[in-house]
Amino acid sequence: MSYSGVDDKDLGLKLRMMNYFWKIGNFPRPSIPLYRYRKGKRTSKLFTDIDVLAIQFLPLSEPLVIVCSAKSGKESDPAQLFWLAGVMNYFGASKGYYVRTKASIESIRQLSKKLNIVSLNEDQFKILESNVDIESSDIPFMFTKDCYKKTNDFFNKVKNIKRPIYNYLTERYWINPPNYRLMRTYSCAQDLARLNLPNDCRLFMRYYCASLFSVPLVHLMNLMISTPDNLMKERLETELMGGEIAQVEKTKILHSVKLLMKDFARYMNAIKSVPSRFFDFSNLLKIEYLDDLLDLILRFKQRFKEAVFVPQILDVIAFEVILRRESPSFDTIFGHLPKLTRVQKNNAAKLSKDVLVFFERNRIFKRKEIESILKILPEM
Amino acid sequence: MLLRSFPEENFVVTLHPKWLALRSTEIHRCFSRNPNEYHAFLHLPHVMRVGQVVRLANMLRLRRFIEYDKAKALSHLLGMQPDTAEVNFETFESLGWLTIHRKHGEPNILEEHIPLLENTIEKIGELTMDPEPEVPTIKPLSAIETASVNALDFCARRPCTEEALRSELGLGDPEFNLIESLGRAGKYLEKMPLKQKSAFLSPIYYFNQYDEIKQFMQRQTVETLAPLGKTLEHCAEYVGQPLQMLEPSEQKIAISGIRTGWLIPVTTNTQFGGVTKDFTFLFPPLSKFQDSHPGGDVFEKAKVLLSSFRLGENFAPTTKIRDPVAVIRKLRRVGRLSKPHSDAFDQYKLPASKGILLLKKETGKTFYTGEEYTGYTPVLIKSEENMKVLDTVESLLERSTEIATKTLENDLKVANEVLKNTSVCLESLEFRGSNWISRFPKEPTLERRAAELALVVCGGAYE
Repeated sequence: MSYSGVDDKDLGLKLRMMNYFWKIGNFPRPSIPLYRYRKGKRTSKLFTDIDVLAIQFLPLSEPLVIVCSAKSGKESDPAQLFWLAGVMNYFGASKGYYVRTKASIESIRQLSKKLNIVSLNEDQFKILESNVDIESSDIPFMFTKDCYKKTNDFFNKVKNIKRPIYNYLTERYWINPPNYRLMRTYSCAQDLARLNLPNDCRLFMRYYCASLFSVPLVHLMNLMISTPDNLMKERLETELMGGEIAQVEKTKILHSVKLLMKDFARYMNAIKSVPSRFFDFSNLLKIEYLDDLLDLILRFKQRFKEAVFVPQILDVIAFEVILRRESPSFDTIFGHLPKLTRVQKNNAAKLSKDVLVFFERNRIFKRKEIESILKILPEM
Repeated sequence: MLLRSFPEENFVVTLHPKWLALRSTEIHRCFSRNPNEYHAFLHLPHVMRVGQVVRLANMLRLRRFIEYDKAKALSHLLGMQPDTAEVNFETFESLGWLTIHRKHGEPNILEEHIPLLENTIEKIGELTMDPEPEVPTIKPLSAIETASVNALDFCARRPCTEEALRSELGLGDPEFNLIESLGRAGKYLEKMPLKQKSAFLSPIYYFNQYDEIKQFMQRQTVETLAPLGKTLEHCAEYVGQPLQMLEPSEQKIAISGIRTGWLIPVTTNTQFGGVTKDFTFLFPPLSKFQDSHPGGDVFEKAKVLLSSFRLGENFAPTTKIRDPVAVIRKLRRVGRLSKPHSDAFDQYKLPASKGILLLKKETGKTFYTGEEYTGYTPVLIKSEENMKVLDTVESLLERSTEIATKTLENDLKVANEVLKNTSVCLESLEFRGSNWISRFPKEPTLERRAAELALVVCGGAYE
């Protein structure tokens, strides 16, 4: 999601879609471009872009992805439905939304149904909004143009200083598998902590990364929910490598390199003088924050039903508290979430704090930068 | 291995931070029920602080939210004075392991973010080597403290002669004598005669060595060692064997094993029907306990829990536990044993202080009248450590031949009664350092033979 297109005439509609998805318990993001990649490198050729992408987390299940095309025009071209179906397939989305505010969509209704796409015009969208009690006078700050513009400013600042971080967070993140999402978001957050950015921008971007970090975290937790605790570390290492086969392949490659280097040292008659640690590459596969991550996932596993709310909570903190510079309170945060019981709120809040503590423990946040959030006491 | 560490002479401690903290924790445990505790606080204050802090962290981990007064009460169970507990909580806050929520300026609720035990131990060890100004309460160890920790580490790995130990520690006579007397007071360093010399051994040496000792015994034809082997095997067949249920002749041998260290004791002080009694349970040094290792069962929780089940199996006054495996499985699956009790919080001191169970305030209904009442339910803390403890204990228990469902309700009740009524439980190192061991009769001949066992198993002392 690039938060670009600040002057786009459909921005209002996108924000309304995001608000709607949020209200029904999804984690939405706007304007995701899809670029062409060649030999692993991104080119400047844009395949297409998605107006809104939303993820719904469910306990004990793969996350459900929804993609949305939202325009205020009159067109309701069946070809576009097929395009949207292709994008859904690319992202593994279970559902698509095709919103054309001024179009008559009767002619494409049957086709939409066949392609598992919900087609809406303005009137129908308003009905959906009223069903979830969305009132135009009561839109959260995070779905306003003001917020969008501020976010866009901050992203542009990052883009000007370190483009790879910008590219990753706005585009590549969404096409990566969960293990890469987790590790690379972590790396982005680490790098952001050291960049020469204005303080408010640097702080917001790290909180934003924390929110994105929690998405693959919940996914990994669901994958490992049935793993016995004594095998969790091993399983986590395997999942972060990309699975058993990928882990074995990587280990084999490193082993081959080690043998090659030993042969070379022998050839150069230097084998006895080279300390053996120079041939030990096992550290390359080691993830320095693995133990802290394991602790975090164990905590998530214990409260897996509430863990699914953590990405939304961290999003609220990033936008409503940090970006908006509001003082944090339990009500500020949970006022924007779907209705939860007291126990659910307490558990979800604790887990969100655990994510921030994880980042602090790995020196991505300083204590004072998360203190105000940690000091929020839930209803006991 | 270099063992010198005298900051004033710029020597470098080579003990890994994890092992430094672990050995400090073990010394702390040896002195925690010890009448000579003041020696330790006088000469080993920072070692004792390290042990306290690690213990407290282990107890608080995964409790999530704890009322401040309750946390202080729990700390008191670990032998901490209230002001010490407050200092320790502030230390945890500096480390980012606790958030102290205040009400009207006074601490009200503790919110924990304590990492895995192994990482906790490593961090504390690192702080003793490389102190941070934000954590002023964890200080570097003094020369005597470093030497004590190193001496324990050395003798825990193999027995060594006095000469070798002196040489490795590089201490003058007064300092070495102090190390020796501290080790003797805490009973973590034992001196024994060795031909024309003397040697030092730590009872911790025996931890995890069951297979080696058993293999050694099986190769022996020496009559004097045969009874030791038989007793050890007996205890391995029924892990957690109550000392009181052994034959008198075997009890003497077991006591010699306890004193020397090749049998590991856990003692509980339990009240049944108004009568308080001590019960001692014997454990062979099985490697599955993973004792004395930073990533293992540092506080012997598996033995504590298994002792509770043996207590319920053998000594519960009315009904006894028939199928302890079913109780363990219930605890693992459901995470609790009973309905809420309206009794006071301090009835579950043992599991609360060991970080096994926490007490959750809940509402229950009385059986006959259906009236609502508020009470405390003991709930398992589902840490990875406790789950491993349950696995270990389950693997050592035997399944009953009776159908489990018939006895489960009763067994849960008995297990609950045991945990509720056991106020004190001394793990092996605490027991060795306490006065309780002095109640056992001495058998110098057997003890000497048992001590020689260590020398023979490891092929002699380090010289």
